[in-house]
Amino acid sequence: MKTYILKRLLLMMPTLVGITLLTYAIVRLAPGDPVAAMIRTQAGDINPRVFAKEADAIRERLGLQDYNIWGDDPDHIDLLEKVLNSFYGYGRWVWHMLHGDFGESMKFRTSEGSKSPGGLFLERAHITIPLNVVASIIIFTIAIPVGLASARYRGKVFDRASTIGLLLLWSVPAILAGTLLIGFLGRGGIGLWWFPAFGLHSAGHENFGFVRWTLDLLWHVTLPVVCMVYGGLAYLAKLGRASLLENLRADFVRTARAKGVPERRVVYHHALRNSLIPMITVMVMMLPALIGGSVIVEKIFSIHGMGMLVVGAAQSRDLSVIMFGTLLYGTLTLAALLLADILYAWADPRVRFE
Amino acid sequence: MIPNPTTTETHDVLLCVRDLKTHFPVRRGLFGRTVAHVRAVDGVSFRLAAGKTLGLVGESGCGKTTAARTILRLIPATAGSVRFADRDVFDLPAAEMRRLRQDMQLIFQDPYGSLNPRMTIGGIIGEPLRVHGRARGRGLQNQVAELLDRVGLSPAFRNRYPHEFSGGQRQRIGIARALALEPRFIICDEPVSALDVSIQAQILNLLERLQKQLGLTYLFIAHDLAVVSHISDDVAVMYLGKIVEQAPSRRLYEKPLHPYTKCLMSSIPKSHPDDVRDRIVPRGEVPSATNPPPGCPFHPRCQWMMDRCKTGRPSLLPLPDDPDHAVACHLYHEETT
Amino acid sequence: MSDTQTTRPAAREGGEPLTGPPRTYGAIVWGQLRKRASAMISLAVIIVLALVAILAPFIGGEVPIRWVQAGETSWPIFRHLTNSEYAAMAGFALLLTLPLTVRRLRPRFEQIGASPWVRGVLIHGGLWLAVTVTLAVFREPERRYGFYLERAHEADSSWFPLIAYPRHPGYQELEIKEQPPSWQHPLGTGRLGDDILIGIVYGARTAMSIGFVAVGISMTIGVLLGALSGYFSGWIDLAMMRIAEVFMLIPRLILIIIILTVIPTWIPPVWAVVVVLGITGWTGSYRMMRAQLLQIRGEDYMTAARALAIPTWRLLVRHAIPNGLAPILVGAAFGVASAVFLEATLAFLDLVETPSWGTLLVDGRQHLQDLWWVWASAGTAIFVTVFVYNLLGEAIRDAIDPRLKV
Repeated sequence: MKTYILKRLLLMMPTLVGITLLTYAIVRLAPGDPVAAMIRTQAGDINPRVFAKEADAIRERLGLQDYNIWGDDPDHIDLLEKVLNSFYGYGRWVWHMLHGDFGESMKFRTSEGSKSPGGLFLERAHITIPLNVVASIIIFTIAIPVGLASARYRGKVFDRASTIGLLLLWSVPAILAGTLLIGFLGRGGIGLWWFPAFGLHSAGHENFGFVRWTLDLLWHVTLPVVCMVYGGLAYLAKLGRASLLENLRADFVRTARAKGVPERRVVYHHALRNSLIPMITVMVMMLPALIGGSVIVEKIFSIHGMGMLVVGAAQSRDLSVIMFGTLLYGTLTLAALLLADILYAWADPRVRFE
Repeated sequence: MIPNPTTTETHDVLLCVRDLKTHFPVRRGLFGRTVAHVRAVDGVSFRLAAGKTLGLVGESGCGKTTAARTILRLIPATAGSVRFADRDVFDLPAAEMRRLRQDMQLIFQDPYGSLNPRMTIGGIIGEPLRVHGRARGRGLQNQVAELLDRVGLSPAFRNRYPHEFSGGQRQRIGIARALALEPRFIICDEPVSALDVSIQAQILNLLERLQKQLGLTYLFIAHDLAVVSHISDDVAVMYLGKIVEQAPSRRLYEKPLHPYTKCLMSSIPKSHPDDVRDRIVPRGEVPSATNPPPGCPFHPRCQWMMDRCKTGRPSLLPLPDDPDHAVACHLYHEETT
Repeated sequence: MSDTQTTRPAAREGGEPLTGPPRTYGAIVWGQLRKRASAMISLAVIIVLALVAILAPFIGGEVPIRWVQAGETSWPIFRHLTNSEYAAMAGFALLLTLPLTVRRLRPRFEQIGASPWVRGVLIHGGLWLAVTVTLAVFREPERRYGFYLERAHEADSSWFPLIAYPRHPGYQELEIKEQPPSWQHPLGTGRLGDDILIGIVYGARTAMSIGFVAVGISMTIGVLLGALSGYFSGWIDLAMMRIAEVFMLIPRLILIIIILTVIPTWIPPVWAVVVVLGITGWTGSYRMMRAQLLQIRGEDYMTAARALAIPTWRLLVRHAIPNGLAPILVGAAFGVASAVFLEATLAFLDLVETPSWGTLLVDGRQHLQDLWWVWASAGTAIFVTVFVYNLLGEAIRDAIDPRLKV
């Protein structure tokens, strides 16, 4: 067991190197000069000389310089040089990363200097993680009972209706759903003004008491959470249904029925517990998605979560932030994969490693 | 050294297996260090004369199937050699091996798993002919029809799929596929174990008829001594990766010597209610092939166990009074080994 | 054959000839699918969508199908159709007729161990390539936008597309902008006076091409790599698994965004998206195929083929892959559905400006009340498409359920 985990951890290394190296290379080797573009948008038209100096300073700090290796034509840097430079830059990034330094954001700069990617993600985590946790809990509490019930009443009206209904929900584009929710239930829309249309807090929430603050937050997150939940139900319900059906067909269930165990007990005592084991994997695999953040929901409801942070970073090619996000997501997913396998083996004694 | 009960002349020996070993490594730990071996086949030797049938018996897990597949070089051997028609099977380069494979074929136990469900019967039987450039077009179709006919199936079956057939019919298809390249030697790996008893006899008769017609040599593997002794000229009994007794089938049937063979014999259902025979049941379970017992592999379960059996490993030696009958048991041999 | 026993067919010991036509695995799955109304409806909708996408110029546009002027009859639309439109038509027709060709080839090839599917795909692929190359080399499509519509009254007789209305880049007709549905414009007009039905019809092209091409690329890669990985196992498998993990974890959206911001303008962004989706989306089918192969590898029919010295590539292509392919199809149906969603997301993030359902939806949602026909049409189009693919995926999944296997 211990060696198995160690082996898996070792095998993660090449994968993580692969992901980060590939991402780094794509961001670096793509044509165009993100640093120059950034300074231009942030500062307007600047004196070209000042501009060049500033740009060089930023490149120096972030390891983004393109050195002229052959030294022939100072203005011309060929592709091979670019590749070598980005390898050097990547090595530098790894070195700093191992010392806990993830660089600085180019896009998010304040008068006190640039923000660190870790700080930016932490800021957004306060918003994204609670939202995702609430959404996941709701998905599980709705989808699994529905799935189990439709397995139990297989072929009956409930089974068919819930399967088709969830499939229909799954097929609604989130952009449409979000728009309609805001339009018909949100403030400022054309229908009922029941829920706020954007943000997570009312004005003046700093002075609210705990209860009021929480209620205010729940009131704000209702629409976004609905928007995040409805599409995910079908998959989990289907999984729960298949899993319970599988067990209801098993010999030990037939034996239980044959010896006269009441149907309720057959389902809830004998079959159900085994059916929940596959859910562990799904539950654990949701962990990395918790930090993922739904770009659509965040944009529609003007929530400053991680999704938009990453998309914004990609659009302005903010290297440090992209790299931090990639590394974070990759590590969490690989760790979740491992955790899922370990938990699965723990829950199901038939599973053995190797 | 090698017991040679089958033939006295060496020139018509088709297959000669010498001290064959197939061990599967058991890997553990971070870097997959090999900590032990499963000794699936652990020193098997025999000779098989052209046109004869050697039965190989043993309970499941004793290494029969592994031995068969190692002989065909479908599983790499750990040690030993296999000579087929005076060529070393394990030493042949790929192109030579490709040619040699056409001479040795395999019939499987499971008539359901051994036919590709996505191919027609004609495709399954015709593919080897096509791949080896034996026939094309109309000639190929004729050959397929002839092969189907030979195994007692209608040539009209050739555009059918395996799932449309019964177990016995599928086994016939498997036999037709094995015959396609006109092999000299066929390993029958429990060909009737998965079939109904009524069908078993049909398939056995078909195999016997084909042997006569085509002069085939069989290595016939089974766990059922009755079936094996029916079809075989000689029978070898395998236990835990080793051959423990080998004799012409009639003699083995009448006078089993090795305690393990006696157990197997006594487990055959009696054909007459008055036929009183003592049931000999071995003690305990089959030991693990990863860690076989020292000395005689059967000693922990043997009721005639002596002190010698715990340490000295008996080798397969012919009996002094019957050179065709070899047994690996201390009861029948002097201390000199 | 001197054996007298086998010369009389009636005396065959192996049973009498079966009656009825032989049933292929495909026929069995098809039979399961046919039983489900939902599967048939969704297939019909998908074929209609594909037809709409391919025949878009006949449904909405400004080039007449038939034009009679001064006693001279001409068929202008066939001169105006672009080469890629012809190529798509040829591809669609060849795809639909592929099963017929395979059925014709089957008796000849399957009896002798050749795959009629491989042959059929090769023949049809070759035909398509020939048509496409010939068109690209020899044909120059006509581009006279606005020509016919303005002279419509001069014609003695003309057949225009269902919605005779201009549609070309940069077109604006601000006088009739933002009109609700009417007989001339069944789904109304947009902010620039563009006809929404035409937008939906042409948007189907984007949706279909993103879905089909991206899923096609990723499935091909996934199936091939998965088969190799599962069959050979060992260090090849270990290395390929790491590569698959890299592609599974690489942030797709970031990749697409970066690539869209840097590609030269002559590359249509939709193509870039399709390629990125194709080369990053193969990990699902890879894992599935690998798992299938790990199981298939040990099957007796594979051992039999190895004992018969069948070459390795043939072992994979003829024996292993066809037996593991069915579950991949389920993933393909769901893959197309999610690609349609992704297109909308990209439009929402202002990344793709190709005429598409996503752009219409995003345009319309800004004016929830005033332009309800815009978002409602686009939203319905996306919803229906995604739903039928999901429905089809579910139906295939049930149809190939191993418990139903014969």
